[in-house]
Amino acid sequence: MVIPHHKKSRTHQNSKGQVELVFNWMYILIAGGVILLFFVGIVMRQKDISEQQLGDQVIHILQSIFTGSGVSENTKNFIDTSGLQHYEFEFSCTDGVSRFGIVGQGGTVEDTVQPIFSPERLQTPRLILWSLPYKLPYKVTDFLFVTSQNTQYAIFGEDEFAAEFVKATGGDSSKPVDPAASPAPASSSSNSNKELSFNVKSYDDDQYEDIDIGKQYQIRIVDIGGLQISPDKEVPISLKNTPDIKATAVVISADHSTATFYRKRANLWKQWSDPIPIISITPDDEKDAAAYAAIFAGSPELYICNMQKAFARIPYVTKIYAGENIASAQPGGKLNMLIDSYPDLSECRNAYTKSDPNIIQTLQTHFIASLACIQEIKATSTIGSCTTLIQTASELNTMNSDTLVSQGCTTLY
Amino acid sequence: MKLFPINRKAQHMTETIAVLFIFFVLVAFGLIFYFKWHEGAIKEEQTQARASRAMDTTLRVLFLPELMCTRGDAVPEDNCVDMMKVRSLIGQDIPTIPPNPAPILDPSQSYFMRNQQYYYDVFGVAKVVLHNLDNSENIVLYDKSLSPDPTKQIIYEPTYFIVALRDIDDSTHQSKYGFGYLEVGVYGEVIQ
Amino acid sequence: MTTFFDKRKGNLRGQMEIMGLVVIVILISLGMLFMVKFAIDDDPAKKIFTRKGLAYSTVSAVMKNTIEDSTCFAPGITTRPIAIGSELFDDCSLYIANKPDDAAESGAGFSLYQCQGEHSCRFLRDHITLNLQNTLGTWNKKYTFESSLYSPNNPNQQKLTLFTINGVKGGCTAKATNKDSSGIYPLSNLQGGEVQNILYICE
Repeated sequence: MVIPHHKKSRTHQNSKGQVELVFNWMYILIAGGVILLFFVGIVMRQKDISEQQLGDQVIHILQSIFTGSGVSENTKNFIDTSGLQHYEFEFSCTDGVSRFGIVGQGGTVEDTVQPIFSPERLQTPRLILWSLPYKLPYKVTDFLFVTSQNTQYAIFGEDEFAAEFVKATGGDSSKPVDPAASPAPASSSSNSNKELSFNVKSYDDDQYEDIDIGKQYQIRIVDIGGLQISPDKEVPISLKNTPDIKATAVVISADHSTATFYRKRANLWKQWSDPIPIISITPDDEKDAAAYAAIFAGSPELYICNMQKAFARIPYVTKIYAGENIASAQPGGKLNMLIDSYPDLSECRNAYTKSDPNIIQTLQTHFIASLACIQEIKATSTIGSCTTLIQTASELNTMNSDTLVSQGCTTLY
Repeated sequence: MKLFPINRKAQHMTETIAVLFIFFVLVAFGLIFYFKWHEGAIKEEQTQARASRAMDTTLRVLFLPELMCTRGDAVPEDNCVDMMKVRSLIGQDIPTIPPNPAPILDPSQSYFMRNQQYYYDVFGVAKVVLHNLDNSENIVLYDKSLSPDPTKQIIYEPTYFIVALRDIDDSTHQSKYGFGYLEVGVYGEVIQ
Repeated sequence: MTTFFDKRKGNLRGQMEIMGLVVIVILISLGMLFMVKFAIDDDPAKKIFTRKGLAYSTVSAVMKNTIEDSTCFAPGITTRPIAIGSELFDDCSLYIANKPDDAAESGAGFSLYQCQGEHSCRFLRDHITLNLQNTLGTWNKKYTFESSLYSPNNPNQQKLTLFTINGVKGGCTAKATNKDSSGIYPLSNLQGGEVQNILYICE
């Protein structure tokens, strides 16, 4: 059949219109879909990147804060982390390298120099940073204690050490700090406001069962004297439903010479470590940084590893005072300059070089003891032989603070 | 009349293509703008990271037991450098009479440089210089720069802190305090 | 012949062109906003930290500084380092009289300590000026060092300015932005008064 020309063109035009319409819609759907997927992909990727970046930024900012707090000795800093209270911070230390970061995120910061004593995990709207100098007998480094207001410290013990710790931390014997309270604006280093204090409560010896974790994130029981915590003893009733990792204890011996860590396992206290020597000499008016470190350290590994960092500094600092050949009893450094500044046969020169004991001999012994201590930790991760440092440091301290001062000589440090 | 509809359809297709072309050109501009901004943001972050590192290193130097003054029972003195320790660090017993001309002492002799495997963790890629204004002495205590790279420019950002320089008077054995400053600078890289 | 629909399409085309122009204007505005954001430069944390720390460490070092000038003499002193903070400032505040400008400017008047033949206030001002110029001045910092005496026993003159030192590049006015201070460094004198020293560093 022959279709008239005018009818043919009309039919053809109608088909073309239909094809074009369908083509247009398909084109729109495909192009639009591709563009939408492209932007959605960018948004999702940016979200992940931003979270990772935020985590990294937080950790690096915290590192700067830790550095600043670490050098501000005897100062407490309360850091408002309410924007991060849904994140969990983790702290660990192995082979003299401490690491901290956010749980579940890759970025961690490593530090081989600054000893940081903290629980293994923290999740809090307010971090507390406190720094104390560690002297053996001259200042070796600053210890940085990191904790939070929702980490409760239950103190048992009635000696001066316990009372001093409670007082120094602004602890209260009436009631613990309520971690649910929103943090007040943090001032930089003031401890006068009761809102800004450690969560420390002291208990009498018969109040063991009164321990109540409440809404705290975790609890550390500090037993000074060892009368409360022993292996396989039952945990207090309120801790029976607490996750095991949230309850730990440390027993400081009555003479403050050792620290033994305990952890909760199936409602019993299990000994976590052998007694760890506390290596310190503490003049009457100063705080025992090494003992405090045992209270704040979340685990025996954290304690020993960070003490290792402190011990690693002793030879370097000693060589500044005593000279690089002090291992052979050859004085150098500041000691040699002091010796040279006094005439022969003077009392001061005698105290440095000839008397029994004298500063050179004591420094030599101290230096060699520090090297032995470092070797032992590297080999066995224990600090048993580091106890020699207590004796050498005490002798040095006596000579510097008593002998030299009484004879009117310039002190070494 | 018959020609007009055909031209309209072709024109409509051309318009669509033109619009899409312009759209993608705009998207390309947007992407170029974004990447340029991102590059700037990265440089800004690097600058901030460098500044943060400078602050950390400066704080560590100012409170380092190897440099700090102490008085009796190891009580520290702020903003003070013990010159006897400094002389011990550079391995020279420099006399208290000011040398003339003022020497710039070789950093390779410094104790910190000789024990770099430890002190690199303390200072990082940085330079620590003690300037004694009383005798115009400049003592380089530590200097560890980045390895040179022809594609990158090494930049150096110093920070200055004025400190008292404590020494012992030889005749009276009393403390005396000079005036000087610590220069603590960090090295960084910028892509050329 | 154009129909009603053709005219309508023409109007729509015009409106689409306007929409296109609107989109371009919005994009340009966003670009300008980004440029403005980068142009506004907040004082970065490092600058504030170094200004504050520098001010504090400077005053601390100035106060600890001891003088070993052979021209310095005072009763009972032969040759020993003389402390600026505890001895010279004390002397300056005790013998400032009522005309601090005279003492600081001319160097005349009595003071127990006489270094380079000058009143202790004048010597202090010159010595501190030199130290600050060799440090802060060399680093192109603007600064103002103020030393004042507070005498609670003297109600007529609560505050007496001992001397003020401004940097070569200029001092810090009260209206200066980006200004940090060392905090007040107090020294008690023998008459129960207090010398307060403060250093401002500004950009």
